Amino acid sequence: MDLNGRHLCPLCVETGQEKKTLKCLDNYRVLYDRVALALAVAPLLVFWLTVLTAPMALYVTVRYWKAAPSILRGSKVRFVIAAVFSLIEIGGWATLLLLCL
Amino acid sequence: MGKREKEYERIPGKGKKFIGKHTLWMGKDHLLYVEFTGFSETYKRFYFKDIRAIATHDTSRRKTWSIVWGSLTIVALLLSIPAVSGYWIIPLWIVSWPAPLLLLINWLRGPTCRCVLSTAVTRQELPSLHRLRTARKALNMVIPKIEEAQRDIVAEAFKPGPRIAILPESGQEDPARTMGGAFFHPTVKREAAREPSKVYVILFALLIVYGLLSTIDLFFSHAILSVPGIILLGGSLVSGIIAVARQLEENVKEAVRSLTWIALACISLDFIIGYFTFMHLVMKHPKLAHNHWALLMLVADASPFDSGFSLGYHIFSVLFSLVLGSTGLLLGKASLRKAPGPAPAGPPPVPALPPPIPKSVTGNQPDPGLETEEQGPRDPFSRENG
Repeated sequence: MDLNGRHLCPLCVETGQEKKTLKCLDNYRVLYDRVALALAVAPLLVFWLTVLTAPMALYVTVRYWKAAPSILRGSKVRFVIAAVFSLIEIGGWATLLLLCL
Repeated sequence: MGKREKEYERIPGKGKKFIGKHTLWMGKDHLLYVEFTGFSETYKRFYFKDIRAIATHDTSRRKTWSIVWGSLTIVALLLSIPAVSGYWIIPLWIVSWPAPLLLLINWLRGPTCRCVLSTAVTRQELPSLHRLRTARKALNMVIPKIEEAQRDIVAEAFKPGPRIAILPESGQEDPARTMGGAFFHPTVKREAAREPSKVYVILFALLIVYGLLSTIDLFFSHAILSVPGIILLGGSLVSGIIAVARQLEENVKEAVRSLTWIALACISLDFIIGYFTFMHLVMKHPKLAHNHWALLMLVADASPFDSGFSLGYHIFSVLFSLVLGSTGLLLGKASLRKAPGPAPAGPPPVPALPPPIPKSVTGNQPDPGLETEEQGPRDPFSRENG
């Protein structure tokens, strides 16, 4: 079948939809880069929360690095910023722990 | 390596909802409507060849917000009088100081509108095009693309038979409103599911009574005024929730809808502040913690002038209930009187006579092969046709 200027078989269309490789069939996407950035930055307001959220932000960054980004903007800048922030926070907590010991 | 070509071009306008925003983007062969909710995006595609109409109609949202910001501007002006002083003005200042600027911005941005895109199977409101100026800019971008995509469909459509029409609003040619062959209805009546109920009138009437009671309570603090006040506020909250729930099914003016939401927000805020005041008293008088009636009497008998915060809270209650209540009551009653009859199901009817093929579609004189009403069917065996 013809889809968005490409000629594809029905199986390819179904696979493309499942793996989110066919943008024209995608109706919903979770923005994991924003999730990671929010986990890394927002808890700074209540500093002690970062002991939990910094590793979570790093996990989300690593786990969903290859996930399909927004159809509109496909950059990984937010992932990078989230990773940097979470590494700094983890480093800070590790330093604090060492100083206390 | 060169820059990757942009797949989508942003169309002006941004629609904000309680959570997230709505935007419109233009691709090569479709419009992309994006609903962003903070951590996810939902996409809807409208292919140019499928778009049947884009209708806009004026709304009174600008007027409603002007009333709200105007009222707060008056409060801000009153607070700036040197004779008015005290710590109680601080919370009111916090609420009212941006109002003059917001009033100006609201006025400068121009009239508000509601924009609805129709295809054969769906109608989609476009919240990002809620200002008329933005809607016109967007239509100027989108119309040429739709025209190009539907060029072949238009030629087919100009055969005899009622199918299409162009309806300019005032007779003046407006390129943003006309489209080669597609149907544009400049005004669309909202589908009236149900006539508005009296719950809006009840809500705003309760607010007015509560406001009057609070005004008297400001000067004569007594339980005989406070207790009915709490009951009235509770009744307003219940009416507000019912009104908001029924809005989805009823044909209510835009202004009344907005005022209902604002009233509900203010009532909720009033309740929250009242709750914290109550808790503050409980902590001050721990021995009375188990005697709620005694605590209530304590609250009722306390004078608002005892503390700045209490006075500010009372004035806020009086202001929002009287201003919102009176505005809402007037608009709500008018809405009940002028409630339109049931609208026809489905899209507006297509006018009977198609106009001649515009040059912008075909680029030339009408195709002699196409039948028109004036010519009638051509006889291939007549001598005129050789």
